[in-house]
Amino acid sequence: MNNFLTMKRSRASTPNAAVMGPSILSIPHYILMEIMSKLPMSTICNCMCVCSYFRNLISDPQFAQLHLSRSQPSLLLRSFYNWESSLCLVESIDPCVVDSGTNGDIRVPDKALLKFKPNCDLPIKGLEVLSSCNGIICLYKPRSYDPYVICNPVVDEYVVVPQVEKGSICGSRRAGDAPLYLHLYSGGCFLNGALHWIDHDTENCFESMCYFDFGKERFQPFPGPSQFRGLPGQLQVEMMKMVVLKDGLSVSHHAASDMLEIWVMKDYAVQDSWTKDFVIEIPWLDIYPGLLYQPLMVLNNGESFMVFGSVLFSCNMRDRSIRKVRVSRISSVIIGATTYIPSFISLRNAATGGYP
Amino acid sequence: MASSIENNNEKLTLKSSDGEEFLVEKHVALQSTLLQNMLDSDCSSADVIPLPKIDARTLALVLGYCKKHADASSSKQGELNSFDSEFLKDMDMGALFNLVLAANFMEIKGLLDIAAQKIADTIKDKPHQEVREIFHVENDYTPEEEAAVREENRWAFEGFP
Repeated sequence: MNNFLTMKRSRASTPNAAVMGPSILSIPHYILMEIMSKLPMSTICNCMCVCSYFRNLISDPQFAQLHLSRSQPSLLLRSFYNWESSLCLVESIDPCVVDSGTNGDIRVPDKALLKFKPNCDLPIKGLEVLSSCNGIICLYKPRSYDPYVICNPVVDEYVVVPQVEKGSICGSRRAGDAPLYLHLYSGGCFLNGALHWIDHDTENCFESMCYFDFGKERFQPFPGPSQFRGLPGQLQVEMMKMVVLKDGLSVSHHAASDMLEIWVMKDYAVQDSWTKDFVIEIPWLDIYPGLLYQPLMVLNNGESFMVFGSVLFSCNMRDRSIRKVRVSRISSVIIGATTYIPSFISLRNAATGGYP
Repeated sequence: MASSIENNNEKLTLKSSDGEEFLVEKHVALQSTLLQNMLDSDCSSADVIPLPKIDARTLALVLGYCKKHADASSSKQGELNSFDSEFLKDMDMGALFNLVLAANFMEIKGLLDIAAQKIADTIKDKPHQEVREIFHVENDYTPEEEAAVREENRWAFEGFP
């Protein structure tokens, strides 16, 4: 891939004034990047085929950075697709493209669904998404935790992480100040350049929150909802998930067997801004213990996408209606869903601390 | 320095690349960061300001945009939004490119944003062959190279022919 790129650069990296009228190549490259960064992923990738100038522009780390700053959360689905487990991206879910199907379900149009096709022999089969940041995804093998794979499927880069000893944080040299117990099933929630966790005691009860500061390479306390404080023993962390909703940190909590509360921190790191944003009555009861409802994203029209086991559904905040979300080209089996901000960031640039 | 902004009725003259002169009210000209900086420095309003990269047709459009936004500033955002979309409606690609270049040169951020968005909207979801036609871009790939680029990004081509 890189040899090819270099070859193209040497031959035709300068704009070629076209003959039949004004060409977009007369526009300075940073404005062209501006224009490209406003496009959906599929159109951007497609534009790489237009000419070598476009391709070099899109492959530029500067473009990756600009694009990431604009990139909107998308849905990342793991599903069975033609009998094999794969990663799929649902692009641009907005009210205009999601049309209601005949039986009241929400149908995601075919063209919004893109399936990643890894060009490598890594054993990604059976892996689940642990978490993601800056378009980089961490996959892991449930139970054995071996291997971990760091990847950016957009640029088709996959790397297996060497195994680390249990109890130390991967990549961190000093984790001595780590809290005793982190609620690991949430996987660490990435926001504002830090990873956030729920902290619990030996009885798995909510204790507090913390975050890992990558700059200082250490854990710091983080303000959790003060409303949680007076309820010792009642707040089992197994009943909670930490997610990013509407650009803010959020905790969903199964407060009762038939009720899910969504707490949102409206202003980052301001304890008093924790608010119970909404409560939904759980539509399907828990068949397996430990299976939680997980909010994914809130759309501008008040629809809130969630996943429960293999069921993707949407809850309308205004009329409280619940509708299933159908992704037609995926068979009904969704193994997992998370939100993900797609980017063109190369693992090489991400690994060096990121910025070109 | 202060004298340049205190009187709103003051006018200045802009000259397009093809020699046409435009008399512009100062508060309208201030939509452009380039002109604002010129006025903030000791550039006299009696001078004609040449804009050698912008033709008369484009400059007229730019000034129309600036006037609307200067007069309506901060009041009716909804009205401005509908003006913006009407303003760019039916504009051909050549005119849009000229507008982007002018907005970039004159540093009018709002205009640059909407014109860039309009160009993006035009190519959204279009196959690459059509993008070439819209932008008058020559294909400098050999068929093998093009196939290789497509192969590298094959995941993204589900919806494209």
